[in-house]
This record gives sequence, C-alpha cells and structure tokens, in this order.
Amino acid sequence: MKTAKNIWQWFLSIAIAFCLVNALCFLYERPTGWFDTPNGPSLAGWRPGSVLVHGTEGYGITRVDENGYLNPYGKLESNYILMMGSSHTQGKEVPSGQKYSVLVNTHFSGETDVLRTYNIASDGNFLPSIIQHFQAAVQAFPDSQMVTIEIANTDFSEETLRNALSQVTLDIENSVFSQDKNAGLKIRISNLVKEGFPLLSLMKSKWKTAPAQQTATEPRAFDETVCSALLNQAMGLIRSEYDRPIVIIYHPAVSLEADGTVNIKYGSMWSEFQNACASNSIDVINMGPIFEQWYYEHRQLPYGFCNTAPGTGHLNKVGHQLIADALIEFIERKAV
Amino acid sequence: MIFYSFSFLAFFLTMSLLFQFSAKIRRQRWVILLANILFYGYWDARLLGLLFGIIGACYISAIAYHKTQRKTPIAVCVVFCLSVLAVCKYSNFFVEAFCRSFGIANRFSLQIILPLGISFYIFQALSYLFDVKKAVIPAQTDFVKLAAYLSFFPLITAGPIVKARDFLPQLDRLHRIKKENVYRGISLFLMGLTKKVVFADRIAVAVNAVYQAPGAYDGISILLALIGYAMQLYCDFSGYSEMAIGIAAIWDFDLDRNFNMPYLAKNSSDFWNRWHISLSSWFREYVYFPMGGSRCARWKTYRNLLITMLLSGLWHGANWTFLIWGGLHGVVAVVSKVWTDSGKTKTRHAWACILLNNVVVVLLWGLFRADSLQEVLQIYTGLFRLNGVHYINVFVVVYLVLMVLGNLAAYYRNEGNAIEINLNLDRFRNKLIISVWIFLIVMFAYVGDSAFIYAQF
Repeated sequence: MKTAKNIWQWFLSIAIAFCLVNALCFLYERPTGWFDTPNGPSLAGWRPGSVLVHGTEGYGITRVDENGYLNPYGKLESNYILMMGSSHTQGKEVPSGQKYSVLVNTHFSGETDVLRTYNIASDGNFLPSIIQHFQAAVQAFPDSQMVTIEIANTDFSEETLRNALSQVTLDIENSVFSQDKNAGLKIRISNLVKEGFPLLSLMKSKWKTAPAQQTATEPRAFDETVCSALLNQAMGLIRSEYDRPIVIIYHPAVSLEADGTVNIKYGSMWSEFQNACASNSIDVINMGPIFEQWYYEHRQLPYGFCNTAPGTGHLNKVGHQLIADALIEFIERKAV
Repeated sequence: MIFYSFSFLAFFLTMSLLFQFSAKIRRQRWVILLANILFYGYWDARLLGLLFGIIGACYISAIAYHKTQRKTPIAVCVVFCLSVLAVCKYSNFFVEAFCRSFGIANRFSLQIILPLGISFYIFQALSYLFDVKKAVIPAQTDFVKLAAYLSFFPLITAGPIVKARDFLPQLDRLHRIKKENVYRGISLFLMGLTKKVVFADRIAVAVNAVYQAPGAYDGISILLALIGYAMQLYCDFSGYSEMAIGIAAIWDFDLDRNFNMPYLAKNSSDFWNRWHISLSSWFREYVYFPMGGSRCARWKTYRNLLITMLLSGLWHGANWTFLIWGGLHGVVAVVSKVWTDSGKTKTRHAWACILLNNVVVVLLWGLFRADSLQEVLQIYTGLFRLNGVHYINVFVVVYLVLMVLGNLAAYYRNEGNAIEINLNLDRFRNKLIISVWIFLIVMFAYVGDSAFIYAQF
C-alpha cells in the first residue's frame, strides 16, 4: 500500500513538474509543426498560422504566414522582391521588425502590412538547395521583380553541386499550405505534440546536439577546377530560369583575433564564385568589407547574441541591419 | 565516463547492486576496488598500471616502516611518488624553462600524457604515508583496502583529496545503501549537476569568448569575464565535488564538504578555509605545519605562508601563470596576516573585507585562467579599455544575481556557511521539487564542451 502510494506520488509529481516546466518553455523555446517540401519553393516550411518562439540563441517570437514562411501578415504587392536563403534570412533569433527582409520591406512600402519583400527562407536551405529549388520558387512566385539569395558559404563538394543542378518540379500539392490542409491524423498528432510539448522538442534537440551524438564527417572530394565549372553551370542555370535581377548576398563568417582585429573568413572558392556570378550577370553583395568597416567604426559584430558569444551563430540585429542597408543601397542604385 | 552520462548511470546501478548484496566487509572492499578499476580503466586502461604501481609502493613501504620503524622506506616512497608527479606533470615545464634560460634548443621534452587525477591520488597516497609515519593510522596489511581508498572512483578524477585517516576507518564497517543516504546523495548530486551544466558551462561560453580575443573587448566586458570566470571555476569545481560527495553518500561514505561559500571569505586565510578545503587542509597539515606554521618567528611564518602558497600554485599546473598566481596569493596571505595581527579588523567592516577579498581573488583568477603571461597582460590592461566590443552575457548577469542572493542567504541564515539541501523524498512536496528541478536542469543545461576544469590538474 505504501509502495503504491509512493509510486503514485512520484508519477503525479513528475507529471505536474513536466507541465510546469513545459509551460515555461512556451516563453523560452517553442518550435512549431514542420513540413518538408521537396517539390516546393524551398526545402521546408512551418505550419501556417503557428507561433514560433526562439530563445536559445537571441530571442524572437514570430508568427508563420499562410505559406509556411516567416513574413509579417499583409498583402503581397504585385511588385515585390523574392528573398531566398537559410536560417539567417529567416531571422528567428531577432524580433520580427529587425530582420533584413522586414527592414527592406518597411523602407520601400512604408507600411508593415503591405509586403514589397517576400521571405521564403528555410532552415538548412543553403546555396545548393536554393539552386535546386530555384525554378520551383520563381514559378510559385511569378510576379517577383527581383530575387535575392543569401549565402554564408561558397564551398561545396562536387557531388553536392552536381545534385543541385537537377531542378525540382513545382508541385502545388507539395506546398506547406496543401500539406497542412490535407494532413492525416498522424501528422496532426505529431504537430500537436511538437507545439503542445515544447519541452520534449527541446530535450530532443539537446540530445541530438550532445557531443556524444556528434560524428566527425570526412571532408568530401573538392577539386577547385571542377567545382568552379559546376558553380558556373549552376549560376547559368538560375539565370536561364529568371530574366529579372538576381542578387546574391554573401556574408562570410567573422572571428576576433587576440589583438582585437577582426578576421573575415572567405571561402576558398570565393573568387571562383564571384567569377561565376559575373559571367552570368548575377550581382553579388559582399558583406565582408562592410562587416569589417562596421567593426572598426563601432566595435560591433554581425553575429552572436547576449546569450551566446560574439561572432558565433546566426546574424544578429547588427548583421540584419547591415544587410538591409546594403540591399536598399543596391536596389536604389540599380533603380530596380 | 563523466558522472552525468548514461554509461555512468548503468555502471553505478550495476555496482550498487553488487555493493548492496555484499554481505561481508571484505567482499564490499573488493566490489569498491572492482568499481574503481572499471571506472578508471574506462578512461584509459594503460594508466591503471601507474595507479597500481603507486598503490603497491605505498603498501610495501608502509609495511616495511611498520616492521622496521625506520624512516627510509617511507622517504623512498615519498620521493618515488613525487618523482612520478614531477616527470608526468612538470618535467616539460622545467626542461623548457632551462633551455630557454640558456638558449639551448629544446630536444629533451617528453611525449607523455598527463594521467587523469594524478595530482589527486598521489596527494592521497602521500597523506597515507605521512599519517602512517606519524602513527595516526596503522600501516594497512590489506592491500585491497588500501587500493579501494587510493583509487576510490568518485574522488579519483578531481578529488576532493580525502585524508587516509578520514577514509580508511570507513572501510572497516559494512556499508548499506539506506534511504536517508540516497536522498542526501541525490540532493547533493543534483546541486552539483546544476552548478556544472546549468551555471559553469554556460558561463564558460562568455568567458572563453573574451579570453580568445582579449584585445577586442572593452573594460566592462573584460571585468564581467573575470567575474564570470570566478563564478565558473567555483560552480565547475564545487559542482564536481558535490556530485562526488553525493555519489559516495549513496554508498554510505561520509565525506566532508570541499567548498563553503568561498566568496564570503573576509581575508586570505578565511578564503582558503572555504575554497578547495581538502587541498588547503592537506597543505596546511603536511607542508605549513611541519615548517613551523605560525608558531615561530614572525618572518618565518610569512616565509612558510609564501612557500605553501607557491607550492599550491605549482600543484595546479606546470605554467608560470600558476606559479605567479600561487606566489601572489602568498603575498596576499602575508599582507592579510600582518593586517589581522595588527588587530585593525573590526566586525563592522565585515562587508568591506568580503568585498576587498573578492576583488583580489577575482583579479588573481585572471592569472589562473590565462594560458600565458602575455594573455594576462592583455586582460589586465583591457580593464581600462573604453573602446572595444561591448559584451554583456545575460547568463553571467543572471547567475551573478542568483549567486549574490545565495551568498546573502548563507550569510544571514547560516552564519556564512553553505546551506546544504537535503530533501526528504518521502514527502510529496519534495518529490515535486526534485522533479521540477530535474526538468529545469534539462531545460537550461548547456550542451557542448563540458570538461571539468580541475580534472586537468
């Protein structure tokens, strides 16, 4: 009898404790449902209408739009800029109003509920997958007047670049909106668990990132001449898919040196990448010198937050602002 | 096999079953020894040879001393233990210093790995030899008992350094895993785990960032990094100690606390009575007192303090930064002794003394953390830099506030001593507290590089 009472008390206390800490997680880290879109404009999207809370790196609360992307709710203008990129462009780590996509939008539209930019970035959507989904993206958003592609890296293996050249075909049924609408019971329950029990998701992500779970990956084959040709082919491919301006925003990693200088870390294929873009009439905004100048003038870095370390992780408020300024200046100069 | 891993949990549960069902004292000693071998061998089985070489040497020399009553066997064994420590830990440092001084190309450095916990188990071995020599304890005729003590798995990686006279008698009784001990052990373990994975490892991110580029940050950021390191070191090491003491408590071993609110110390002597208590007490008993301690001429007392602190610095590692750190702490101890002896300290100045002591300790931790003297210089000069990256890590600030509150509570509610949390898990309220506590640890634990700082010593 005493043992049964003890077991019951433990069960109850664990359940109550879980609920209490889980409730706290809604303010700290709360992911939302996720749909892979292998035939969509980008790799994946969040569940439309859900609210994403991200506090493990920076802090941001974002509402997902009807297409599964992180944009302010508003009417999409007929003349808009389509923004592609990875988690940096999503900007989950900063408040919505500080993301470069929103800053550029506010600059040109003057209002937050009228969209002159549309952000279709998703986690892990790096240059190869952007190339692979490029055709689908411009087909899904045919009225865009310009495309921006945010990248942080120019070095990819031959295999990755080759795979990127096979374009995916747009399938409306594969969109986040359709998937959410037609989701089966299993997916709905999975999303409900993910959104209702953020503590479980946090535990899962900590388990995945624990050092014991990390396996060292061997560097893949990397022939500069071959990769250079593949990059040129890839840039030619996206150029052939889209006859309006394409601009690539390249933001290299930065690190501080012991003597206080800043080191801008360009990829080893950076110059080949620039050549590939130039020969296909694709503009490139190199954020490296801008980051460097800003650092020496203001002693601020474009990456890192007050709950992580400077120069690490995702773009912060400064990084987003610098990209937005550079992009606005570019658009105005080019009179797009 | 770190304490908060699934492999350790599986190991500990299995060994606890064997331990609990050992009906005789001798069998329990064998179980402890088996656990020790498995735990230490898991890190690197090759190092077991050195460990058992030391244990064997201590065993033989103590028995030889017991039989002959001649000092030679003990002296030989002490020299042997210190030589092992010197070769493994200090040889390259002295060789490098020698070569640099005489402008000789260094071709003599040894390619050896530092055996895990060597400073800790050798100091325990020395305490055994000294205690036998002083007839405080008899020479052990049971090798298993001595080996169980010197290689006791909760302590072998990073202490606390438990003296032979405090531990060996505990191996003379049958231990039972009792409810009260388990509750105390779990409470201690969780407190240690919180300090390590929630506090220390998160603070480390901020401190490491500043130390990687000391020339880049402004004075406030560097000051916060210094304060952060003081908190990180305390949480890291006291966290490890509490986990070790908690694990030992589950097996019914009673080990003294290793930290007692060190940042409430009013002076240098008070600080060393609260920080790494087991090491301070070891140096006091086996180095400071034999030299005459404070019962001699005043200048000799000061000399004794200086030598003890220098050796303490050297114990921490083979680097000029540790040596200078120890030396400066020696100077601070002398100044503090002069001040205390002058009778100028008054009770109403207590908070000023605590603050002043903390300023000195925190500044000297800057030396302790640095890899080179050049880095130290960059850190100290950086304190006056106005133009630099302004980096205030939110965790450092929040944890600083929590630690100040914890210290205030200890000061006003427990006469400046640590408040031990011992939850009686028979009560529902405490079950709930511990469940919430565990989930909060999971939520805020830092996942990443989390090596214990003191394990490298």
